[in-house]
Amino acid sequence: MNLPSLDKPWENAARLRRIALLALIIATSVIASGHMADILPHRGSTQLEFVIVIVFATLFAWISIGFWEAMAGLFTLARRVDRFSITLGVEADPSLEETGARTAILIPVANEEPERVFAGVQATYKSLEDTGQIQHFDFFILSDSSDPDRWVEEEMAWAETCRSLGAFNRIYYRRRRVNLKRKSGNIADFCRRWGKNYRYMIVFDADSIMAGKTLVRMVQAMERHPKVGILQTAPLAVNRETLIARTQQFANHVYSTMFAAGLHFIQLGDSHFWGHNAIIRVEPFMQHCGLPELPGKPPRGGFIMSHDFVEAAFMRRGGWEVWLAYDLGGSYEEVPPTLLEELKRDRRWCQGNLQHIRIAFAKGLLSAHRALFLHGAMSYGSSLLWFLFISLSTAAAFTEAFRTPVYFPQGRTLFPDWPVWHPQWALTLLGTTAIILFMPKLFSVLLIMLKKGQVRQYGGILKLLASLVLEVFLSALFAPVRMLFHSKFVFITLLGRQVGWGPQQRSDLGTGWREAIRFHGFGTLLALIWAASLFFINRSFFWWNAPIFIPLILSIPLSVWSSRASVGRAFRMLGLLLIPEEMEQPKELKSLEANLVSEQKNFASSPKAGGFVKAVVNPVVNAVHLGLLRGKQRKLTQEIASGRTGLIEKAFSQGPASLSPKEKRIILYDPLLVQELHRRIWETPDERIAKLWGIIR
Amino acid sequence: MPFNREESLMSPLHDKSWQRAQQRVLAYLRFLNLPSVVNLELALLALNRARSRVEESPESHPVTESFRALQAVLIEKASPAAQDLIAPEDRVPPLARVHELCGEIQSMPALNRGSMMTGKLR
Repeated sequence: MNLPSLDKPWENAARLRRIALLALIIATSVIASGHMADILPHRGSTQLEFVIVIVFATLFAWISIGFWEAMAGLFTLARRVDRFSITLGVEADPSLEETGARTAILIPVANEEPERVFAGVQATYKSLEDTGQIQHFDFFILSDSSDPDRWVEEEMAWAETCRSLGAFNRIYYRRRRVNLKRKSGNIADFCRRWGKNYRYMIVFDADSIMAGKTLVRMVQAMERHPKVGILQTAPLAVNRETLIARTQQFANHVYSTMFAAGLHFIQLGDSHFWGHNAIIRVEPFMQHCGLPELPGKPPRGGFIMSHDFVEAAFMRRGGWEVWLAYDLGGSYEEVPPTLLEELKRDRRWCQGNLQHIRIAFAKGLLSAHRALFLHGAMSYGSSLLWFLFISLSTAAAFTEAFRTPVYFPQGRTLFPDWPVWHPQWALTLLGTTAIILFMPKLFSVLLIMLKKGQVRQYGGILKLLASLVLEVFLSALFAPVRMLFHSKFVFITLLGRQVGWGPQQRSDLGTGWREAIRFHGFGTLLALIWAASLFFINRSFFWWNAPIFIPLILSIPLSVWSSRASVGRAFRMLGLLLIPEEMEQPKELKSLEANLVSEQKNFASSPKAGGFVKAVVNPVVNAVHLGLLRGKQRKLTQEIASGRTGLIEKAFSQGPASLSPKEKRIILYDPLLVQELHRRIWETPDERIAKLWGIIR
Repeated sequence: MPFNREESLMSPLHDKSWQRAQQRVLAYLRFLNLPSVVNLELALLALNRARSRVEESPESHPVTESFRALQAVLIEKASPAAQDLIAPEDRVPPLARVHELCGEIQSMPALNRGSMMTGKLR
């Protein structure tokens, strides 16, 4: 079979496609903005109305990008063959025997739940074993965990995973002492230490799962296209049970295929890297993708937080291609289980994406990647614009309510200037906006209906349509809440305030009422004041804005209710928001579930003490920890040595509760201290101390 | 903690300090996931050794001595030479040799250093 040439033709096609996209976006935005100006009482002639029209035009351009990309996706998927598909020609069951390519699977973690991480590692490992190609892969768990309990639990989970799979010297574990540049620094450290051993690396997130066959096919695709530096898959969201997460999963399954195909149509070899579920050619990555620090202080300066987009841009700058394998299955991830967890993640992403604005104007990058940086920043900036649009519209509505009309602003003229409000025009514009927003969703469902056997995987045609309506309704409810938070994040970032980079909660634990009130209380109050003001000052504008303030007023119960796994399961029982993986679980996900149950049993059966106490008390954990600390004993100054003597006395006599995380880490880093504490605790006849450490009750 | 030396030497099984020592030794062995028969044998051996040590050195305590004796017993039983000498059914299972095992564990491959320079942004 002739392989598609990925040289010039794709670049020419990409150029033409991008020009067409730009023309369509500008045309639709200009037409819609003209309508918007017509709707306003003074047809956009006042300063306030002019600003409203400009903000509206920007927002409309933003939503039309998504619309036209989706249409491009529809076009791509409707064709039988995509000549630029990167997986074209890759066998269904390839063998890597003749390639000689070795691949490292990297799983960077930072204070994640070890039982989930290692259950995922086991599932992927077993799936890869089933392909018969495991000998070409090694796994690396690269830990940046600072929590001393998590550190020890990771070590134990690693040892147990290797023991149960017989995978010592195939699954490796490394914990960094200094977490420089977080995930990107962790990967760079791997490259510097072992990168030369591997032709490729496949980067996972802590919750990623990939089918063995997919991993092998990715390597084969890279082998077939030697100019490709990064190949990104389009991961499918799975495994969540809360209502909001199941809604996201449904949306991801139904719509993302079309959007991903659309992205591919426009970007071709200038695609995204999303930081995980992607394969990277190690040598050019080491050569071109070392990330610099930006001048200035965080969050605008300092190390680059959202590294993936920048790495893709650098790879392209170095002459290597970046492709999206939108049609490659077997790539999974998990979405945040609650609205609050999603918003916490968004706060980090928002900061990272806004930092990209500075990089977008750096010399030497390709224009396609500059556009991606601005697109990423606009993902959050659009919320602030929407907030601004609502605020300006409210201001205009209030002005109109209080102002005495001036019918002859130009002095003596023949015709008066009537401030006229045309609700039917507003409805037309609303309808157009709705088409832009919802038409791609309808087309996505149509595509599913047209493909044989796919409707059944969503519970049948009626349930699929009902799920679509439910998803649209819930998205509309969550949209104003997200808008308010995203606006706040952008505003805070622009003010130069930094956010923490804590671990994500990945289990289906719900949101409590107190937490919801703390997070959504301000938004609820703001919406109540806004709605009350509109009600008394401009009643017609009040009804137009009801879809925005009602969700905000209800945001507390909405956040709590949607975070409950029981509610998500109830909808599943009704056959709503179903995804194919819920109807028929793939082998890898089945394996993950079984491994997770077994890992959780292991964790539950061990005493409730945290990892630190286990490392000190439990002889097996102690021995594994010491084994992994080998060769790390350092010469200490007298001052440090005496400080450590004091620390061990404190730990011994006052117990683990008296130690800060930093003190626990100091002990865990020092094999002599760990051994000494272990010995003294078991030897002591003092029952009070033995109780403090949980040896006796 | 009051420790009556004479009483403990006379009737170790009924003395509180020896009971605590016994509990401590068994608690430690439970972590090693050995069969309960092996646990009891090791505990008995350690406690007997501890008893003779307490007799020899008046300042020592049964809990301390029992733990030290247990450590010594585990090292002896776990050493490959000792394992070869004893009958298979009496051998200490591998988990008790965990200290030794960890010496063989490779959590990371050998270093093969390369360089990764930081890219420039202007």
